[in-house]
Amino acid sequence: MGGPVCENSLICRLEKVMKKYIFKRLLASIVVLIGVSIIAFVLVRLGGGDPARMMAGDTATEAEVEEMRIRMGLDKSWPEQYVTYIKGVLKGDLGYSWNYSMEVTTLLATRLPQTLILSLFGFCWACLFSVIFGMVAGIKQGTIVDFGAMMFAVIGQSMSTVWLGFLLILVFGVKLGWLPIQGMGSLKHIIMPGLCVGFGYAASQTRLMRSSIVDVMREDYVTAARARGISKGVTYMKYAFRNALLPIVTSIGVQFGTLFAGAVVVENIFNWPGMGALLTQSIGARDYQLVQSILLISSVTLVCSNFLADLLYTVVDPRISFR
Amino acid sequence: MKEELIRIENLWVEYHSGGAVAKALNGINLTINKGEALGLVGESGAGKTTTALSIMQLLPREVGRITQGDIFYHGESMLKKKDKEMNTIRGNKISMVFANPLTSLNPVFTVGHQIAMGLRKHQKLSKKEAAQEAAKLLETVGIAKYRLDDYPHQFSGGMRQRVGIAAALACSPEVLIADEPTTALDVTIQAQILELMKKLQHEYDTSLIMITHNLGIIAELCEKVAIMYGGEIVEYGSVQEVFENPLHWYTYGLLHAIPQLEGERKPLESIPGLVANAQTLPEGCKFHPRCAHCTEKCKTTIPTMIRISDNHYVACCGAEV
Amino acid sequence: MKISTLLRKMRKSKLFMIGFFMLFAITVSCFTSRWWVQWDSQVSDLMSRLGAPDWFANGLSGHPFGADPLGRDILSRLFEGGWVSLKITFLVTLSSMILGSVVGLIAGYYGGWVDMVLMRLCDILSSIPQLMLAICVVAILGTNMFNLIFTMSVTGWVSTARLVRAAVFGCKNKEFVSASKVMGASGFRILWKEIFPNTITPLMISASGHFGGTILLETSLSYLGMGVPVPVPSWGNMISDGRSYITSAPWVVIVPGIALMMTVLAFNFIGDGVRDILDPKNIN
Repeated sequence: MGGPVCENSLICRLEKVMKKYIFKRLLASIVVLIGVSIIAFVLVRLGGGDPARMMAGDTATEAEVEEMRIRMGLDKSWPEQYVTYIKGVLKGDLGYSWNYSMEVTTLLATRLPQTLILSLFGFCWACLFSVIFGMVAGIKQGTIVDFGAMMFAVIGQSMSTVWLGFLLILVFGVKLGWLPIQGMGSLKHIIMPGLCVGFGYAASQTRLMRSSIVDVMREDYVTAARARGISKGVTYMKYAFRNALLPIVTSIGVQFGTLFAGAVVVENIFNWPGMGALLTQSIGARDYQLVQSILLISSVTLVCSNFLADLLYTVVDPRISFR
Repeated sequence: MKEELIRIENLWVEYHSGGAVAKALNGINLTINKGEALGLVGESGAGKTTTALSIMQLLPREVGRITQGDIFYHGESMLKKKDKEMNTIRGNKISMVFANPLTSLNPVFTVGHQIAMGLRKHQKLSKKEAAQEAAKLLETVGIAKYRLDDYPHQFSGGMRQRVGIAAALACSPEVLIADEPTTALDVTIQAQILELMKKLQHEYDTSLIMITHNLGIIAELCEKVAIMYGGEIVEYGSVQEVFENPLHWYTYGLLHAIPQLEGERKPLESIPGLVANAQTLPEGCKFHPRCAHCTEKCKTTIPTMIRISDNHYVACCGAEV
Repeated sequence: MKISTLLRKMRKSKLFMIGFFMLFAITVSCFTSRWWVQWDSQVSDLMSRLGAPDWFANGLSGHPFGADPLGRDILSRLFEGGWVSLKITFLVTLSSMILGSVVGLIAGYYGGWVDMVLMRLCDILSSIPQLMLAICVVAILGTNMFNLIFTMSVTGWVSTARLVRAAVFGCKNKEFVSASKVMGASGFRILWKEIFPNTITPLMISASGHFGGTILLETSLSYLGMGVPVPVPSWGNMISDGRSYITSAPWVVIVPGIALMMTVLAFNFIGDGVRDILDPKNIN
């Protein structure tokens, strides 16, 4: 029975779960990441175009191009190139960006945090907003708040990120002049891109949270809590809330992935110096190792966020234990 | 005369949903005295649970409405009480055990927390004190106290119902409403739970409202019984009197639909037809479409409750002299 | 479910009907526009460059929604672009559904290592954000209509495959499948005749939810310069074109954006309606 006192305490449960689970999960993640690295590797090379010639310049002679090819390591066979790349990755060296003439690791070290900040900002406001708004709407079913939430959800889910970005720029950047329309620096800079990145998610989750709380309020255990003399407010905010949160938590990992990908567009709209802007620029330049690394890093982010989401789920729902 | 705790007076309840109106309760009168055990019997949809939820003032909001009548607790109208006042009564003076132990415990809170909920609210205990008290309660209902920090899914159905009972008894309520506490359980477990309830009812000197469709349970636990049909009480009296000498044909039918273990084997008599639908209740006596002894009078007039003796009342046209 | 019950349920579902009629109206007006719009959507007229909308003051012979940076009539482009966008959306959804259900059926029916390999492939694909993958694929294949449709299809089938696979698992051990095997039906026949019909419900739910996302993805790709190549209009590239003129000529962006929103709205309504209708949890 192993220490009945701590049987269900958070730390103990996490510990038990983690040990068994992490190993299995790690293995699966490694398979996925190897797959991603292969896909990325092959994908960039399928495109045709000769990076060596691009790098050497238009006026270069055949010999110069050949020399450049050797310097870039492109004279070797694909498997050899792949092994070299993976060996580097394992050592923390993501390769060299020809287009930017710098180490990919260095380049991404400045760009990735920007993308993460943007996505996390969008994610956090969207989560907070949707959970609160959806909760209130669900509790006050049929009121103006509920109607507002539904309208927001329906419209928010139907808006193109690009269009929303333009509208934000038009209204808050140009007409009202409250917020800077591009670049980064102050807190003000992140507001518009952050809003834009989280908008669709906020809309869909508001709706999910609303229907979830409506379902939970019909449950016996909510009536049971009320029958024990717990006031309406406490029942909803404490007891129904946690149950209603479950469907949101289930999808949190996947949703973050979608949001993270959406950042590519948003970064381009607002000139946010993140990884997305880098990707669109480097793919055209056939900057092999940079593109490969961006794809790889993105899936590492996704894999991690899925893992964290699963852990979070075990914390919120005691019924779930990993096998 | 025992002290009167709850008196239901001419209570009418309707459910509204999507334009349809279901008449769940149609003028019921009922009194529960201190320390007394009352059985509420009827088929599904007869209005038993509605009666319980009305007493608790927990009818589903927007949907369930009390249209007429009142419920008195210690002589005070409960309908006039504010929700805040009701919160001091619910779980404290009047508490409830729910039908399905699988759904009536919150899956994401420990059973200890759920038992302690009422204690912390009503007796203003600290977290620690409440946990200790909850542990004692768990032992009272026959569960080891180290399981306090377990979650509902780690218990079997019977165990969960024990938890439900522990939570309901936490504040030593004056009235315990048990809404079919054993229907969702195995037969063997049913007996245990009933035994437990019987024991605890005497220990805590609690009044009990036992809602069930199982007449055996009533015979076992209760002193008085009220038979419900179509949102009305059709027969009421002491258990012995009603069971030995049923005057309403519905009660008669119920009693004869139980297989007998002893004596000569006879075919079971089932009551023909379907349970009255609360959305389309018939005119006159609600039971008349299924009654073998139906007369023209039954189809038009609603029978009134008549007194046969001090502990036997019935509402049947056939019983009127 | 019988067709007649399905139709009756559809007629009863408000969401579905609203969505259906919105989409019907949009599709019909986009399709027929070639016969009634006054301007050629691809011919520029520099005289009316960024002309402001005249809101039908001159009927169809003016520029009701204004003109774009190259002086092309926005109304004509709106409808023609809409037709292009709708076509892309339908084709992409159709092909991702086919791809997804083929993979899902094979994985679910054969199980074992086939299933393992295919599902790992799904894991791998779904751990690269669809938009990023699509950007790479388009960039490599080059921008044209076929490549765009191809890209969005090959990057968008994973969730469908998983749904179909789950449905196959749900029914492949049922009696009717065993009965069919006992009677000596071939694997393909069992898949097609016995198992596939049981995956139609999740497939339809998946498909109806796919449209909205696809048309939005097209916009994003267009903005990144990887959508429908100019001069053919699509709502995506119409919105993107207006980027530089957002201050001086906001209608260039706003008009196609609203059209897009209405369409996605219609798709979403249909999606919700279909889910309500087909979800076994909603018996009523």
